[in-house]
Amino acid sequence: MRSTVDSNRRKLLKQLACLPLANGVSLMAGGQQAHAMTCGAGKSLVCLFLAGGADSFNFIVPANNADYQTYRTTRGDLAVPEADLLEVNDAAQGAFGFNSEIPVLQELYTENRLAVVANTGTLIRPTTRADYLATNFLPESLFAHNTQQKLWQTGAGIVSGSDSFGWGGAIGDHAANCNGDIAIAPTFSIAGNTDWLSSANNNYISLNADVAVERMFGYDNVSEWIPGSRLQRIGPTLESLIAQGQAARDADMLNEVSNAVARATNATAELHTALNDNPLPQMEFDRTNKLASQLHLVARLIASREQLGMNQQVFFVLMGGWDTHSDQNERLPTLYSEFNAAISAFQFTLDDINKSSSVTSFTASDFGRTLTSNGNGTDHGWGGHNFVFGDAVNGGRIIGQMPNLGTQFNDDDAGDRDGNFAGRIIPQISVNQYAATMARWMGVEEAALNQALPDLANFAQKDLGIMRS
Amino acid sequence: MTKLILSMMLALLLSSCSDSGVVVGDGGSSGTVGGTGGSTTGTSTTGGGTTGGGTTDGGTTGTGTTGTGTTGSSSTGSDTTSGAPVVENPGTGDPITTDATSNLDPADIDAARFLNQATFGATESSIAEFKSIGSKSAWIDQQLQLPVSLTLPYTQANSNGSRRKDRHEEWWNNALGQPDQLRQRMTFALTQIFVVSDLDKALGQNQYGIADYHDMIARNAFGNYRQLLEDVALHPVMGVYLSMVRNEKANVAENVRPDENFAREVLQLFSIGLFELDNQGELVNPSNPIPSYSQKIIEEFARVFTGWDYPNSRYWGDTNLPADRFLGRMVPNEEFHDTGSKTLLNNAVVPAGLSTEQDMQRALDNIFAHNNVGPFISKLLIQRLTTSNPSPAYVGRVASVFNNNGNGVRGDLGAVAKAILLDDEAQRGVAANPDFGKIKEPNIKLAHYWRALNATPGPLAEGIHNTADFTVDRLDEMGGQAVLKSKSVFNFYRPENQLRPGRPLLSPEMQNMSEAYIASTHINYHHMVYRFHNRADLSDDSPRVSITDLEPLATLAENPGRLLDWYNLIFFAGSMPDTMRATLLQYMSTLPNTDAGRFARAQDTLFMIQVSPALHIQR
Repeated sequence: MRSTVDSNRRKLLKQLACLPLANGVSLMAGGQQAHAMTCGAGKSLVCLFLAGGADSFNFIVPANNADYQTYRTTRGDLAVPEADLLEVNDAAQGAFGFNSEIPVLQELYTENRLAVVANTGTLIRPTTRADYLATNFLPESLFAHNTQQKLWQTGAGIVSGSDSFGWGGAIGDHAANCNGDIAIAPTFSIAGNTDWLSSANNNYISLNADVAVERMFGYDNVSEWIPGSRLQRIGPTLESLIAQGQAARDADMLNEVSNAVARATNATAELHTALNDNPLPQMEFDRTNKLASQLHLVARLIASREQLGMNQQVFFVLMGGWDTHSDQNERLPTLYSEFNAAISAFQFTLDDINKSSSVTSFTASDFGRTLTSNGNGTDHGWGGHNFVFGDAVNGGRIIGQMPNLGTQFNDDDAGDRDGNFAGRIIPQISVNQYAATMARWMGVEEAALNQALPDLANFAQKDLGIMRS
Repeated sequence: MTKLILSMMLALLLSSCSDSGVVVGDGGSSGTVGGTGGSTTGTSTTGGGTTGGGTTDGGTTGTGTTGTGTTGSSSTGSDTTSGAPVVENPGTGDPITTDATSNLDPADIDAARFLNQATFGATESSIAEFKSIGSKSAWIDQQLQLPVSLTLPYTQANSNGSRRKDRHEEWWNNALGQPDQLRQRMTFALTQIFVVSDLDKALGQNQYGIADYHDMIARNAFGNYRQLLEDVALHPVMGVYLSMVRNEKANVAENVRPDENFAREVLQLFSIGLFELDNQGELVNPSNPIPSYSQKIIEEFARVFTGWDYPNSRYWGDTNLPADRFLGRMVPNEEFHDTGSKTLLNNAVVPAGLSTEQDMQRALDNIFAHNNVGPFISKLLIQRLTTSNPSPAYVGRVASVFNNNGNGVRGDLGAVAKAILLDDEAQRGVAANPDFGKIKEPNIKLAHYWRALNATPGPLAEGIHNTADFTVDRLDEMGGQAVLKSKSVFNFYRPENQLRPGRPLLSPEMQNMSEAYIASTHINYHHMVYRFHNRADLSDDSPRVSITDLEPLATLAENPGRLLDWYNLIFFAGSMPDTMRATLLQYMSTLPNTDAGRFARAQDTLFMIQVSPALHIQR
């Protein structure tokens, strides 16, 4: 199927991509400058976004008796039964139990390659209950899905007036420089559009796990249905239509669509061979498990890392369905089991292909949920727990302080002025600190990090110490 | 400088095109394209994976059809033999048109442009019909009176309730063939504001309910926003989707309080948005936006929205509900309603002691009265129909009609639709606002393709339209859009999505211009253009894929300029770039003016246009 036109076309597309666009931004994936930086051995970073706001207070639960009873009283019917906890220990904070429907968390924790990052969320600066009541420096539009997703992914405290670039995009800029002069971006979303990978300098590649990455017919002499002599002329004609669109004046939308089509032809042509070479059949999963399908594609791209000439890669995957306003006790078991199956299959496949020390994965979500019930579900909260795993993680620990889960005199609660308990927990660890820790592991320089995460300056601890090194 | 380099490169590309035109015919000599033997399709040995067969896990048509063919392997190519310099033979006496610019009637262009905004794509017949009516205003007035095309009757007649595809199929039949085009287009826009989705596990299994919800919006599409808001709020499908059904008053002892889901989204997404707006849809205080509601107000609305049960539920909690529980309107149950007083928007107080229904009416009136509703809803509808970046003045003019239709009525959606389409900015486009225009939605692009080419359902499709690689209920896997099937209540794309990150111009639809969707869409059009047309031999192919009629295009292709004029009018409303025209003229000059050559000209240009960047833009 590979044609001789292939390499010529690649050169041409690169030339086209090098042309300055109307807005002055080059399409090149990276490699313009080769200044000193920490690249080192190959690394891949994976963001697992639990969309809708995951009820992470039921992923890991205090297990010593008094704290469990507090949790149980607050959560009522929604509490995980004590018998369903898989107990682990944290040297500083004592006994906790992982939800037995997500046993992989306990397994990785006991292998010291998963850390719990307690009570993390969007914060502009350290925030107390008094700050909340006085609305001092609060993140914009707390408790709204899209806004909080955006703040999580950009590391910003406000949406309006701030840029929309993600901290994954900042890591991607670093990765692009490490990757040098190759034709494709180091950043991949397997879940559609995301602010997390958004960057002024690089466009991430957005792939669909449910559809095989194939060449776009008509280019590169690829099509069984267009007669050969016509096909030879169609490819260049299609390319000239793209080039015209890229160069059109006073046509911003046409320019951007043309750039997107150029990226699509380029990415599919570059990736399909490597992906075909790395099918990773050893990763077994149910095809209806969307997260597992996405992570399978991620694993194949990680397995292709060297073949693609990449030093670093950054991935975004997403699992939906976590907005459990109703029927939470019926909905969560399915979500847990899919999450567990996906994480297990993925991590053990990475072990199998000897990539687990060079791949770190972490969770994120819109927000935690309310500790209180609305009858049979929970509403939008604020802080929540997250998980970081991989062999580079200094695991078997809980990072940060587990919050107070009680309904009385709770300084962690974003309740109202009358002292009524809301069950929305004020985060103690900022997304900025969490992000900086990941970025630093990838080797992002401090200046770039501070630029991407301006509110990091408001926090004393700039690195959560999650990673070994 | 840039321009110079580019023109050099283009010259290079073009010259390489014409060079390759002198390729020796590669094979047989007798075949004609299509003709009778279907040689155009050649083989399909590319393997199932190429079309997504096996990747769309068992979707019905199309998938799995590739990779099966083994015939006719090299009957191709002959049609384009030896691209000797083409000498046009004006056998018809029709002068050959290879003008660098197209020659279209401005009235036709104006009609096509309007119909691309107001319908599922201009066609020769819709342009003719429009011209016979005489004016946009009269055309709209006629549309406002047409009966509503529905999806529920067909869905009930064909689906067992859990099968999804029927509802989508009937939507496509309506979009492609029914006369109430403006209502259907407006309904499609409204379903992207008042979102529910097949992808909700409970709803996906209850297609009668989603069809009924869709039809409820269609009935209200030219009605009043206040009635629509009420019908949305009380539809059991919305009740399930945003969990208001069986939402009950607080139980303090158990730490149970009302569900905030619907309360939050009805404010954020269906009515007023996050921040205070002026009548032009601009933030009141851009440097420090003013939230239009607080968490406390959401909690108050959540208390209002308690006490609603499924229709025909015998008691609160009844699990043995009849099949029609997702149709119609939810019913109140006072026992579970919070009867305390509530403080809503603008500090309006709903007194204690009112009934479930009375509280609902007061709350909806309260929302409806908020100043944000007009500009907020107007801008969303403008973005669906005409432009992603309306000027504030355009939003303001439409919002003013929302606020008062001229007869003292607030919320008249028919008047709003008319104001959007007849606005000076909509009519003059880039001449009025350089940023005017939008990226076409995937469903509208596909509907236009089928409408313009008089597509008919495949021979065994029983009247149902389908693409080559995706059935119509799974088009979201191709391009990120299928009717009432978004991933969340935030629709297929966000209204504030930036065309390019960090820049001011907005483009919701750009959010779905991903590598994956572009590639899947491209491949699907490739298959449709080259395999599912009137001359194709369908014996080895899926008999359920819609067939387009390329014969009129092949006839036009005797005269390449005429063919491009047709494309320019129908698909571009006169805005096809001159460079594109030149490139396609050049391409067609490499194909002979024979029956086969003309068909090839039509087919190849149609494919290249459908996948071209320029086609995506509606200006």
